Amino acid sequence: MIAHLGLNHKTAPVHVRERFAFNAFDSIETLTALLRNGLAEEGILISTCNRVELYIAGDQVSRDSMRPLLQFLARSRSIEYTDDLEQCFYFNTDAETLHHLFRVVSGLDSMALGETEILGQVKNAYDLALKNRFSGRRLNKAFQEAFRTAKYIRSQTDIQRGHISVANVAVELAGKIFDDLDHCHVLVIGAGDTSEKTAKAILSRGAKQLSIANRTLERSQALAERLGGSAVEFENWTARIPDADIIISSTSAPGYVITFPMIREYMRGREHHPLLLIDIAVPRDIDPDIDRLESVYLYNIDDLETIASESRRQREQQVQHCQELIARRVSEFFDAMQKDREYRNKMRLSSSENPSC
Amino acid sequence: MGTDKIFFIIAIICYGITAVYSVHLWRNRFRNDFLPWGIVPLIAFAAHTLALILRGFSLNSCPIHNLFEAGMFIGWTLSLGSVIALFFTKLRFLTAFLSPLLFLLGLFSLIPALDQPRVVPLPEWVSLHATFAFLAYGAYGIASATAAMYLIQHRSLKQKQLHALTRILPPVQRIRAFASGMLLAGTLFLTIGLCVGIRGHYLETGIWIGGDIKIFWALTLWVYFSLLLIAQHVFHLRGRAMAWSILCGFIFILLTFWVTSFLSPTHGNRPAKPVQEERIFIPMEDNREVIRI
Repeated sequence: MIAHLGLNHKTAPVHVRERFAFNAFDSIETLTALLRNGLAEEGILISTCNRVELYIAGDQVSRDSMRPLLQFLARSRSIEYTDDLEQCFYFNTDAETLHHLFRVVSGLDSMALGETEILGQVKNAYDLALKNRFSGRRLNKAFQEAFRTAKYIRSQTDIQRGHISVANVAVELAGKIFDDLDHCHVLVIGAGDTSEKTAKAILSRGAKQLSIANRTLERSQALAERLGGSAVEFENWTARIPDADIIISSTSAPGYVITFPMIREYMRGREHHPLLLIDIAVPRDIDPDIDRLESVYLYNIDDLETIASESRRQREQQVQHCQELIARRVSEFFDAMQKDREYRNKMRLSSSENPSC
Repeated sequence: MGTDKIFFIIAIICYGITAVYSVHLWRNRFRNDFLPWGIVPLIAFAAHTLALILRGFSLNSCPIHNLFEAGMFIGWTLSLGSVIALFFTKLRFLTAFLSPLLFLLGLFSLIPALDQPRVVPLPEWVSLHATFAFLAYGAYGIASATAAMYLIQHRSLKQKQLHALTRILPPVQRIRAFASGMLLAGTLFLTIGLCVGIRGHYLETGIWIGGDIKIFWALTLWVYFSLLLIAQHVFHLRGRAMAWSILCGFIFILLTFWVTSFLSPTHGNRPAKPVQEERIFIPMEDNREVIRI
């Protein structure tokens, strides 16, 4: 039987999740103890910031395994076992376990619906278990099928299409405007939280040059240090415009900081290079008329939010379809497992009846 | 029907399938489907190349003798471009934009009246002239498909939309650079083709251009696309204006190529009149009649 015990962002608050977090070393130690104690024959432990899940397999595993497993997990993290703790956990067996695992790797159970990071995290947990021989025939088959299902879901549905955060939408837009983000110069005006996230996301896609201008120089210096850019005195930020390819603005100025004549003048010397302007400020920093200029692409916070929410809506629409695909895959997998089990039993019987063979 | 035509028809069917499949993929939001993208265009290109080679072997020269062959050759250059684009991740969907054009061009070329046998063999320089001219039209075709991509992508980005097609098309900066490259390549090919053609014409007839409408047509094209290049590089012509200009230029080629070829005394389908035998009696020692053409 296969089973899993776990907690996630929906069932447990962060102060509980953090106490059950495992690093690679802890995982090895815990799984070694689990198998040694005879609670299971196979085990894989997944630990991310939003979930901790223990997958087990063995003939001794049953629907009643939850309590001993939970007690074991609590003991391994030096946490006192209480009935309240049980409320934070979920426990399933066989088809429900597979169904849950397939949902997890496909990003359907994630906080950000359809995110792909979880697949890598589960793969890492599986590799660790495989390398240390904690997983066996049953869990190997289940996890490999889960990875195939995640790939299938990604290619057959829109669950992972588009971006659902403002920062990532800005990056996607930049990727549709510039041939190569590596050579893009990013100018950040106003060191707010969203502009920091957006700049960080663009830098993560390869942009190497970053200038930050803020009314408080210390703040722009601190941000520049964090992101690996250079701080610019707020009075001099306009001097950086000619070099900039992407401008992210989020000041608290009451009027437009970047005006139409300013950009029109600047675009004259720019030949065919496009310019991406991201205005995250409210009230807006960038004159909307600038969007009339041919090679200038201007997006304000509403534009980015609209694109993000459209992607979110599309993903939500896909959930039902994904569930159906997963249910089908689980059923097919179980049928195959059943046939395999019958075949093995038959082989075992025939070998016991004819020991000479 | 010759084997070359059978292969050409196979290629046309594949272009049609690619066009329909592209629309299907688009409607299906470009999810992987029953056919891996690129297989059918590759088959089409292989069949098209084979058709061209077989035709060439049957004529024992470059297949540029009539309008059917011209259509087949121009189509082949477009197909070559679309196959090359398949190997570049960000440009591979160019094939989808070219396939309807290839399909229609192929169907048009199959009109029986266009495939007239040439009576008199063509001089050797004509092969070089026609090859460069057809390569130029192919390059302009690819540039125009790229221009269409630019217009779609630019419009989506300006309308603050990121739909399925926007996601699969390359960034505007790359599309523009590629279209400019194709425009430059086309103009270079056309320049060489025109130089070879005009010089060959002069050597044969002693006239540089004469009253041939086809030569005027080609010169007009050359001036138009050269001005477009100058406007782009010297006057920084805006992206949308450039894209529309390229598109209009290629539509003009498509609409007028066959008409001007029909009207031209030296181009196209009209079988060249057999040169009148000029019989000159040259008294020889053994009284033989010598015919000089």
